[in-house]
Amino acid sequence: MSGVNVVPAGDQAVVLEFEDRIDPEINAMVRAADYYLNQEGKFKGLLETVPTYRSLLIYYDSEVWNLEILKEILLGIEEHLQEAAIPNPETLEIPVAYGGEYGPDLDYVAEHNNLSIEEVIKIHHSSTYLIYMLGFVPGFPYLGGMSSKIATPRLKNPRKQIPAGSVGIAGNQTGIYPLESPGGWQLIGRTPLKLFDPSKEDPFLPKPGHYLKFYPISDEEFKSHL
Amino acid sequence: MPAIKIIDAGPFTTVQDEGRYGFQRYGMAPAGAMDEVAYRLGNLILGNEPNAASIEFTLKGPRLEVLHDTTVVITGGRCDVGVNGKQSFSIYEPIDLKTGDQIDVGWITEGARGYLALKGGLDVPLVMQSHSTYLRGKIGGFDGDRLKGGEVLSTLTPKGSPGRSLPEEHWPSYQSPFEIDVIMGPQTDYFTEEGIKTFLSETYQISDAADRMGYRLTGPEIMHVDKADIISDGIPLGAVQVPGHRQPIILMKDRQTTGGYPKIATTASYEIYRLGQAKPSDQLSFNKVSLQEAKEKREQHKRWYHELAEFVSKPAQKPKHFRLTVDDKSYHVSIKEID
Repeated sequence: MSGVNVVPAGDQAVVLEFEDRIDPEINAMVRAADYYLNQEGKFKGLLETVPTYRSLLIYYDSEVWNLEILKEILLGIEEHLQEAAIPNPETLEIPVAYGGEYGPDLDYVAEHNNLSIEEVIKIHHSSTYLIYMLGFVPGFPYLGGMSSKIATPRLKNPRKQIPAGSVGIAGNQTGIYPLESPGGWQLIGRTPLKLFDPSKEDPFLPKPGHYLKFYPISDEEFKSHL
Repeated sequence: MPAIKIIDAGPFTTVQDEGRYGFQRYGMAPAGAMDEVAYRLGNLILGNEPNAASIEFTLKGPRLEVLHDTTVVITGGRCDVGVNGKQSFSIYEPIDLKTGDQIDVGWITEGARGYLALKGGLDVPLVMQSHSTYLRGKIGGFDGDRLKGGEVLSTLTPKGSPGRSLPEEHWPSYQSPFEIDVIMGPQTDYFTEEGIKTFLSETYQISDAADRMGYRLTGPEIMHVDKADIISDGIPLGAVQVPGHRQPIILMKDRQTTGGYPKIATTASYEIYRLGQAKPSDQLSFNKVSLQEAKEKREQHKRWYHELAEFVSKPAQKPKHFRLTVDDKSYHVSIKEID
């Protein structure tokens, strides 16, 4: 019996679904399936895949594939996921200048959780976060693994402009704004790295299914990074 | 070289091509022309490269000053095209322009979007393999933004040979009410039987919240079985999602690549160009098709498009001129093929 589900998403795409929950192990299967299907020259006519928490959206060329044949391959994919030599996920290191002008809400996050500022910073950069998926805006990572000790509700009044690189907390999640945009996250710091740089050959730093770790830097280091 | 200066861009005007593919996994929408058929025909009429960058305008066209002799064509939504306030031209007709000319593209009377293609195509940088403007990502087109008055756009050196006009009887039509074919899924099981029936039998209106990202519709409520949230997953082009407010939203070219609302159905691929021409207050209804039916209709759509493409790609027959001398008198004779 197969533990996966295959559902059409129009006449040019299909969704491969794993179990319906957010879990690093399920996400690892999504990453493995994504890797297996995108191997060079293996499945011609699979155009683009979008890995998410627990499913993979697959755009296919309908001149090459019909859903019945594709469905059969996808339903039997689990047995191939062990055999495919999937490279280990990498850990992306993100320098963050915490507090001050870069993290105007750090004080509030500390106060809200009855912690010192130093404790908040330490808890935030001690975890290794799983990049479950990217979405919302280009390069925005949905991260799993933040300690509930620093969980803080969103701002009541979202800011109109948040600088690119801002690192924030919203509820149980932490994230990084890849682009200048409006938003309601509690800002605790900022990274000088560009998560999304369209002029680079590889424009995106975070990759779905990989890991991310923050490390603190001083304001001087932040400025010299730019 | 600089070809045109924008005097007035119109309400919402961007540079678009076929779109930017392969980056949805990183949260990057494909963008690209909302009506691919009209966009492509414009380039074919001018003999441009297939992915040449054109101007996409919304509801009303731009007013431009010509800085260097060029040829343009307007395709898509029906509108009046005036040159120097006197001559008028029709859409799908190549227009030769001289330095100093002003071209004014009017309000669209049928459809929502038009394309202004220039001979050679616009010279804007390729960003991640595409010229398309993606506003949310602030990339592509002209500085990643919509076009504004005062901006100067250049064109590339033309390579191909020009085609010819498309006669009015062949123009694609975009009349409301639109009946749109959909394939059920991927989350149809999040909706009650009654909800699905409502979705497939009632008429919905496009609200004012309709742009390149998607269209919010208003109409009878579509009921969920239970919750109206899913664990966020990928959003295919043309997906019809129904959040907790029970009103459908159709996701288009600038859509978010992932989202947490259940999708009751997905628009058939051959309907996207037509949907790209629907505008606020237009009426929509949804017709369920199987994947087999979708395949047949998709092939029919491709045949229709290829016929149009082949027609406009053929060079226009230039009149042939002869000088005849009869009884020592000279005559100019021109012979032109009648379509």
